[in-house]
Amino acid sequence: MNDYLLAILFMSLATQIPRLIPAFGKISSIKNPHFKRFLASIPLAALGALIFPGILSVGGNPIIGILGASLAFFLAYKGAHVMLNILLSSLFVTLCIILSNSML
Amino acid sequence: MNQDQTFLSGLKGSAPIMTGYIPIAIAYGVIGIQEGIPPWVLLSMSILIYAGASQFMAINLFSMGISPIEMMFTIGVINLRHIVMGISFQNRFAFSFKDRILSSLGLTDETFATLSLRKDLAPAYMRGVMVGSYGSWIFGAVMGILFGHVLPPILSQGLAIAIYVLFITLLTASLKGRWKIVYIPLSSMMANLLLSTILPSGLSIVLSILIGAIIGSIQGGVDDE
Repeated sequence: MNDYLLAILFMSLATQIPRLIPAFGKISSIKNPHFKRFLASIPLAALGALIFPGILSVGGNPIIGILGASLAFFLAYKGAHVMLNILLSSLFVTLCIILSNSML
Repeated sequence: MNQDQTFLSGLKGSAPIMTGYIPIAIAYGVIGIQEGIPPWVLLSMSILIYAGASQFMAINLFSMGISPIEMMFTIGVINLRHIVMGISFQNRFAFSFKDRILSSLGLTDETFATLSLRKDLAPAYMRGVMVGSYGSWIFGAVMGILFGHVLPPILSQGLAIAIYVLFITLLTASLKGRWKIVYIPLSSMMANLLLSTILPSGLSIVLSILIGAIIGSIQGGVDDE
């Protein structure tokens, strides 16, 4: 019981402190163009690292991950709404999983 | 639009995140119960930690009998990336202090990805997205703890791609019209592919983001907004 409480408290600090640090910093005064480009590049760089190679673990088979990602990219490129894209891609991946299970 | 309407449209704007969160949170509840973690511990973690990878990791660490201090450091490493994301986020939008605190506590990979690429961001819209995402995370955990055993596992496996679809949609939309900067996400992907083979995933992700952003700052091409 006590260990649980202590662990939850410590882990909460370990997640909330990194989140809160930037709220107290004032770095918008830094005008260096390289640094501004660095900050502006972070969202795109983050998306890249969050997508790959994590996507390969979807469906328990890298091929399913790649196929699902390709479909999602195609639909996004064609301008499909994100919710429609999630629905179709999830259905597609579910079918792939069923198919690959039945082949084994 | 008044404040309430903007908040509501923010709640609606969090729908893609909710679709990703709820199945993951249900899976979290189910796995936690199976591992013998008390429900109050699982729920407290969703409320006080609010980080997917960390909470799954915590279930593992609990079952391994690791000390609370060691758990803190392991979880801390996973969440270092939020410092980098937070600096970029808070630097882009000049919120009031109260909203800075709120947006910092609500910052996840998904809320950051959804909001950070916007040209401008109304505080009320941000609050809507943050509250909607947080609420769905807790809702999913409760569902998992209570009714997890009735969800067909194949459904949650298929929905595992939801978060990635969100990321891919956001990336594609933000690259439209400026494909020449595709090298930024590509370099962080390659960096993560290499680093994840030798480092824990949290550390690998934060280093890969830094590498991608440094390459972006040298090469240029990102408009300075």
